[in-house]
Amino acid sequence: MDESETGRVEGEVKRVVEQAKELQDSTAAFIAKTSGEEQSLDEELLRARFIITDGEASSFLPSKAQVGFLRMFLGPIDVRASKKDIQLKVKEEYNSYRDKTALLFLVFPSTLLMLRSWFWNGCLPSFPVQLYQAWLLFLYTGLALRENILRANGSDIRPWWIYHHYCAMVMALVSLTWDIKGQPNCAQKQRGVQLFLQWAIMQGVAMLLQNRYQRQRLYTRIALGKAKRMDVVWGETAGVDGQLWLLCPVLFIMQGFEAYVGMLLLKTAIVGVVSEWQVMFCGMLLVLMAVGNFVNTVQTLMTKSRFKAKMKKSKSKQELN
Amino acid sequence: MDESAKKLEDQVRLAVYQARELQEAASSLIAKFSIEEQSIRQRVSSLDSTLHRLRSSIDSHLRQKLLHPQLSSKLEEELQRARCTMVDGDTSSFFPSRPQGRFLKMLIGPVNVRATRKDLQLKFKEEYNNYRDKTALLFLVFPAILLILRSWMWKGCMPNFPVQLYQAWLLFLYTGLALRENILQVNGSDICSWWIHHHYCAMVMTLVSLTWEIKGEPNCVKKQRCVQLFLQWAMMQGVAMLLQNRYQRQRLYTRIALGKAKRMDVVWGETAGVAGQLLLLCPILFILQGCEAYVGISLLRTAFTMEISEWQVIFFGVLLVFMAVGNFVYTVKTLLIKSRFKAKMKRAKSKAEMD
Repeated sequence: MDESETGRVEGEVKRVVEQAKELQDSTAAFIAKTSGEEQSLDEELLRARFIITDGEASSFLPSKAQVGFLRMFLGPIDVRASKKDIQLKVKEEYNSYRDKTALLFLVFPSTLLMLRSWFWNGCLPSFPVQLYQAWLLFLYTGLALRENILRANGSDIRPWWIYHHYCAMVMALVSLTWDIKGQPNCAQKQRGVQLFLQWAIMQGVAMLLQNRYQRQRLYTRIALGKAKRMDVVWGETAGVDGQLWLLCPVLFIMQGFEAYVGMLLLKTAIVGVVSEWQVMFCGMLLVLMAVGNFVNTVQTLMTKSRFKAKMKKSKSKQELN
Repeated sequence: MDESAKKLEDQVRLAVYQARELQEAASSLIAKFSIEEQSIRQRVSSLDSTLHRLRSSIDSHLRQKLLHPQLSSKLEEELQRARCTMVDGDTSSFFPSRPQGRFLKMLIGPVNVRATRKDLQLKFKEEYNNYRDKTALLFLVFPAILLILRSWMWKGCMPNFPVQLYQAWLLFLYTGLALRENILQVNGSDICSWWIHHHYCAMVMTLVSLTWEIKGEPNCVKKQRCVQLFLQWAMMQGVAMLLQNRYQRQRLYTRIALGKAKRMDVVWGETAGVAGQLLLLCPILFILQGCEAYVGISLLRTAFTMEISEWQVIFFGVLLVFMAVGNFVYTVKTLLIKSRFKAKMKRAKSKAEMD
């Protein structure tokens, strides 16, 4: 081949390589630019949505027809609060209700178990336990009703937590029908009841921890709302993140315990002396609740960490600009 | 592509701007609305107190013989008409609201359950009546089925589970009724508090019955006598509920019809239309209340003579007697109020004809 031909081909190849590099650079720049814009567009849209749902305009959003639980119990009454500050007041009352009851949740079963060792010689009488179970039923019904009302008022409570309270209601109801046998051989026959009370204490601890976390979130929201910083409310989760990472391991341990108690109940029903259907039913329900709680806690964590990562990126972008 | 991205960006910015604008508009509307609402509330409350003052001054004038009785009854009627115009129309939503009862506060918290408009309130009352209709039927059907199955299929011995399922359903039902009646009261209904307390007692009764272990063989008939009595009581409650529903529905339809005709001032005379039904209803109610007391006393007797040692039986007996007595007393009270009212109306009518 000629030298001039070689030279020409070389030149062409070089040119093509350079063109490819240029194309590569400009494409990369374009992608970076558009994805960055998408990011900020996304953010802006989110901001707009929060202004609508968290501001005064929220009371003018069309109301969903009330279905299910609330309609069953209360009928077609509209439970949406007309103003935002009333909605926050309802949420505050709900939190203080949970606080009061979380404490009683710990105190009642502990008292029963202590009295059992010291006073009743290891044998729980029927009446106090049934009184406690009736109180549990009433309590869970109140919680479920309030949470449904909060949802109707625009709260973002996950439906699973409400279903969890429905399951707890059914469990309290079933436990009421459970005849607590007396002497002789109390310890063995009352093992199911003992496990049930231990589960209740665990629920109380989980509730107390969750309350602290929710209260932090609510106060932050109220403070930001008062400062009329509606567009920043969506960023409030950052403030309580530390608490969330402390809360979750504890919740996971509780859920593990709940599954363990459930399986113990099932074992007692299948292997042991106790032949009542309530034991097996409560066992299955407990395992179901534990699994559901675990899955939903993990989902909540992932949602929040994704949200936090997004916020971090947008914050750093703002600082760069 | 650049252009469409820019367009998108502009649209998003516009959306954010509109959201902020909407926020401002909403909050200014809410502020304006609350100012107007406040002024109407004040006017309503002052008119209400004026009406009260006038009524008491009419009474005092009558006592001091400064006023002719004929004139005074005419004035009272006018006052009553004015009050009904307020109470049965849209103005009713601006009356100072009755404080929410403890039961509602305990279960659902400080949510405002007052419907804003009169037609919503009436719709709620209609739904309540429908709910009672559906449940009154089930009230008869369920225990009847249980008792029939007991004779035909279970050889006189009822198993635990169906009865407990039925009792759980009863509890849920009475809770729903109690909640709805509380909400009706908040919305200005004149339900007598006793009927709501009666439903609380029924709730406690079903709750206690859930803890009652129904013993099986042997000697079923004797041990399950109390359960049988309980189911019979439930059927009687169903019959009473059905009858009351028919009566209440008549009243409500009359009110709705008069309301639609905007004859607010005549609504207070609606009781005349359904008075005939009331006189038919009451003897039946008295008989049912007598049966309720009888069941209660039977339970107590069973507890003492057959030596059934469960506390639930005595508790039921006492509660049933208590409920029967309370129901009787309040039914009589309601009858007296309505007959006095009716007599007053008759007098007013005849006077109007004479004038």
